Amino acid sequence: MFANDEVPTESLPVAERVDWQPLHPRFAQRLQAGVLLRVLVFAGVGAALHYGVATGGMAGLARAAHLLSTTAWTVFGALSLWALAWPAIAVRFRGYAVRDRDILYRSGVLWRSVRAVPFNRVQHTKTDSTPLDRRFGLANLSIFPAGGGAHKIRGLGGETAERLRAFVSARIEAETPETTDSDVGKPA
Amino acid sequence: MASRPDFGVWRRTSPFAIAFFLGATIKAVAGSYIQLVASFGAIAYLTRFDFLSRGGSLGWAVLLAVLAIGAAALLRYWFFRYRLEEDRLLIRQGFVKRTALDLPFDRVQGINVERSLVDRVLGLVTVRLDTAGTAAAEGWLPAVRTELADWLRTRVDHGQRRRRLGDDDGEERRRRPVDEAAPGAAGIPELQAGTLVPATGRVLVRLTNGDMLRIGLADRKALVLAGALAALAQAAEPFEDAILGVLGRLQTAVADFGTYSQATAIVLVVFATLLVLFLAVVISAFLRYHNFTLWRRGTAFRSRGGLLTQKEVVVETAKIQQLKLSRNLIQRWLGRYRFEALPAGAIPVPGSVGPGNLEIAENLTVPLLDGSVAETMRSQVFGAEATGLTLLPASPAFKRVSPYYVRAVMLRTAAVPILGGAVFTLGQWGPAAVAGLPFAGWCLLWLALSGSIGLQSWRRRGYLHDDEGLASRQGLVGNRVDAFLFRKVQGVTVKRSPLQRRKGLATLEVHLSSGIVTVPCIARETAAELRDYILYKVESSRLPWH
Repeated sequence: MFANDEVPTESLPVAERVDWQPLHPRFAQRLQAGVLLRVLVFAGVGAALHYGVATGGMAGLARAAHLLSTTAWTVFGALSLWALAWPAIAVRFRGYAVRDRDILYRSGVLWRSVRAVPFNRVQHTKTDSTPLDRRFGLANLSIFPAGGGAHKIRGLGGETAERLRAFVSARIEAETPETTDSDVGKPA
Repeated sequence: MASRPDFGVWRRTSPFAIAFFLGATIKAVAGSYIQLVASFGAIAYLTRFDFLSRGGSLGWAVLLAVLAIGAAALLRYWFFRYRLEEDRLLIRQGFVKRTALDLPFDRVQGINVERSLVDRVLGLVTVRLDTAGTAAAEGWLPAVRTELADWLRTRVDHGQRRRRLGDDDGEERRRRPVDEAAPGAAGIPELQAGTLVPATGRVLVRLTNGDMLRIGLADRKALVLAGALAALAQAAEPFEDAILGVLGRLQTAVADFGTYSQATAIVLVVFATLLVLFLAVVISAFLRYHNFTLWRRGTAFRSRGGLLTQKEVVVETAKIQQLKLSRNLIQRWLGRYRFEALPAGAIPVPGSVGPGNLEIAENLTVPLLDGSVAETMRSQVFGAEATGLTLLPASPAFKRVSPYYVRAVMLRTAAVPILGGAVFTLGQWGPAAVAGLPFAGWCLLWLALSGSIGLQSWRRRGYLHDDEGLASRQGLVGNRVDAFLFRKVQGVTVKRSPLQRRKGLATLEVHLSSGIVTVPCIARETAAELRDYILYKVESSRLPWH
C-alpha cells in the first residue's frame, strides 16, 4: 500500500465527494429530437421498401414476406420506443464537476465511469454545436489532453460551455510551469 | 523580430485561402465518396447503363457537383476567422458545425509552414500549429502574410525555450546551453553531415547473429504464416488429387523415392515449407536487427540496426511515457523478453525532418533481451523515481486482482457462443432440443474453455505500485508488464460494471500520452485511492511530462 509519509492518503481530496453538476435540462429532449429524426428517416425508407414490395407486381414475394415484415416493423417500433426513452434515463446519470485543478465527468447507467483530467495536462479546449444543438440552446465542450482522446462534455448550455471553456483555458494558463522565478532566462 | 500584428481583432485570412479550402474540400469529398462513386460505376457497368445516350444528364450532375464543392470552399473561407491575443491564437470556423479553437502559444509544440507556388508569388504562407493533442489538423492558418508566420514562430519558440529552461528536469539540463537542451538537436547536425554517429556512451544491448535466430523463432509472424498455410491447405482439398498426382510423378521420376509412400511425401513437403518459413523470418530478423546496438548518450537512448537500410531511433529519456516488457511462449522458453519504451504520441519533435535513416519520436524497441538488462533499462529511464517497481512478470511483488475477474472474463468469452448456440438449436430443432444433450454439451464445452481462459488470465493479471509509479501485468499465453510514472499521467477513469458494483470492485484506467494502462477488478476503495493519489501526483508535479 502507500507508504507515503508526506501526504497521508486520508487527507487527499476525494474525487467521489464532489457536487456533480447536471447537464442542461433540455439535453435529454435534444437527444430525443435527434433520435426522432433518425427514426422518421428509417421509417420512411422502410415504408417505401414495404410499399415497393407490396405493389411491385411481386405479390408472391409480398405474401411470403408478410410475416417477416410484420416482425420487422414490430422490432423496429420497439427499438424506436426504447431509443426515444433512453436519453431521459441516461442523461440523469451524466454530470460534471469542475475542481480547482481538474475536471471530472461521470456517465453510464449500467457501466458507470468517472473520468478525471488534470488541467496541467490539457493541451487546448474547444466548443462546438450542431444546428440541432443550437435549436435547444446547447453546446458541447471538448478538452484535449496530450496523446489523443478528446474529453467531450455534451449537452451544456451555450453560455455555460463558453464560460467553462474560458475557465479551463485560464486554468491551463495558471498550471503552466512558472517561468518567472529564480534563474530562468540565464541559460548558461 | 518580426513586426507586431494587431491583437484582439477577428480577421479573415486573405481571399487566396479559398484555394486552400477548395483543396481541403476536394480531399474530404474524395476521401469519403470515392467508394460510393466506384460502386456506382460498378453498378452502371453491370447494368450496362448507356452513358452516351444520357450524357447530357451526367454532364449536369458533374457541373452541379463542381459548383457545390466551390460553394462549400467559399463558405468555409467566409466563416473562417482568427484572432491573435498576446498569448494565444483563437480560431473560429464552420458554417454548419461551428467550432471555436483556443491555442495558447505555450502549448504549441511546433510551427510548420507550407508554401504553394501561388503562395510564393504573393508572399503568403499556410501555417500549421502542432499541439500535443489530437487537433493537429485543426490548427491551420491558410494563406496568411509571411510576417505573421514569422511572428508566430518567434513567439512559440520563445515560449518553448522559456518552458524548457523553467522546468526542473535535473540540474544537468539547466547547466547546458539552450540549444543542446532541445531534444534531437544534439543528434541532427552530425547526421546531416552524412555520417552516422559511432555508438559512444554507454552500450546497453548488442545483439549477436545467434540472437537473430532466436528473434526469428519467436517471431509472431511465423505462427501467423503457418496458420495461414494450414488454412490454405484446407482450402486446397479439392486439388489434393492433382497435388498427389504431381507427387506421384515425382516419385516415379526419382527412382529412390519409389519406395516411399505418399504420406511420407506429404510430411516432407510440410517439413520443407516450415523450413522455408523459418528461413524467411530469420532473414527478416537479419534485415531489421543485424548488428543491433542500443546505447545511451547524454539524455537520449539511441538504437541502430539493420542490414541493408540501417535504421536509427533516438528517444529522449524525458519523452518516454511508458515501458512495456513482453514475452510470448517461445521467448519464454528462450528466457528472453521484448522491450519497448513508448514516447509521447502525437508530439512532433521540432526539426524532425532529418536525413532518411533517422527517425525521431518512434517507439524504442529492443527485440530480444535478458530480464536483468530490462531492469537496467527501467532504472535508467525512471532514474531515482519509482525504484519500487519491476518489469519482470515473475516477480512476487505483484498483487493479484480480485478472483471475480475470472467470472468477468468467462461472461465475456462464453456469453456469445452459448447464446448463439441456443438460438441455433431453437431454430433448427425447436424448443425441446434446448434441454437436449447436444446443447448441454456445447454449453459445458464453452464453460470449461472460458473457465480455463479466465483462470489463466487471472493468474497472469497483477499490479504493483509505489509512491511514484505503477506496473500492470497481464497475459494468457505470454506475459506483458506495462510500467509508468504517475506524474506523466494525462487522465484517470474509474469504471464499474454491474457485476463489479455488486461485489464492491472497480476498474482503474490510466490514460497516458502513449496509450491506456488498465488495472481491472480491484477493490473499489483501492481504485478510488489510487485515482485520487495519481491526480494529486500529477497536479502537484512541477516536472515536465515530456
